[in-house]
Amino acid sequence: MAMFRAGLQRLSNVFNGQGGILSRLITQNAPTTNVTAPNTTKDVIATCNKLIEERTSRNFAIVHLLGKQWRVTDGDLLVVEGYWPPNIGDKIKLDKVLLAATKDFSLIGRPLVQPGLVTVTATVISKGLSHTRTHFKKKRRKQFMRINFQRAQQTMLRINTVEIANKINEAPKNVF
Amino acid sequence: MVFLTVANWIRARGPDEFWRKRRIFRLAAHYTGRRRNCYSVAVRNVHRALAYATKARKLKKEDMKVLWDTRITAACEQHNITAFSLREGLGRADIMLDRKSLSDLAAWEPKTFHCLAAVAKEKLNLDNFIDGTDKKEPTGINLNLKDVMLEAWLKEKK
Repeated sequence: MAMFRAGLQRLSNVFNGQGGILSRLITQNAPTTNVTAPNTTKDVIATCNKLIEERTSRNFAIVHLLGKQWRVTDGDLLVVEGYWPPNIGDKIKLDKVLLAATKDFSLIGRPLVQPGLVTVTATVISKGLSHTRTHFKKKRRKQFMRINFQRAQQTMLRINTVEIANKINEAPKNVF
Repeated sequence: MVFLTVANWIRARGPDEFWRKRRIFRLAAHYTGRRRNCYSVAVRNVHRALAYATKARKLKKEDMKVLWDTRITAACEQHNITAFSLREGLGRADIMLDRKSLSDLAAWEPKTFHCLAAVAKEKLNLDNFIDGTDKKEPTGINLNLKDVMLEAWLKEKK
């Protein structure tokens, strides 16, 4: 706990009171007494918005893509397997963001973070096939042997940016 | 070879012996000793290796699942919450993170995981859910739920 406290010492200066709304829960020091609950919530949101504006650290997000969840950050390379229509050079916005966070706070979606808050952009950089996978079966003493070869389609994605917009807790616009 | 009768065609054993053996020897090229040089030994080993490789593709996925579970359990123990109640709490709160991303957070983003554990526990408290799983002696630090101010958020109906 001591280490944890030390890590968050700086944060505790930033935050007047402890707590969170849909953001990180600050659970370290004894809560300061002079801040009432509703104020604290607002303060936390305001502080998070300020932190976003300052862009103090790199963001990461967990996105849902082709039935899998990926933890991505700026400049990541993803290899997606299976049939997927986008072509080389396409710029894509990954909308299904389940969680986004920076060094100082996390945004947790239920199940998704509100649309427009977190923007994850990616570029398709290559499409191709995987290495050949050999599917080999053999039964002993039964004269049974099968061999097949398969290659899966692979799409390589470069994550360009993971950006958190400066409007936590604004009323969500229904984009979808 | 030209087969004028079907009977001969059935009897033919595929490609020429040299090429049939060469296919096997190429796969056995990195073996040592007789496994590499002697066909009758090489072919057994190559077949076994290919069968293992086929089965292992499935086993790898199962092994990863076990690894992720281990990581999640370990991180949960730090916060005195069972992995079961973590999943239950997150499920009830509509947080749909899977094993893979939870273990990722547990290993590399401990602060975020700490928050998720707190959310799960708070949600279970609000639901009056009692975790009936056998618990070990607590080894971690209890989550400080005083500062979790998510009552409205967790109670709101989706």
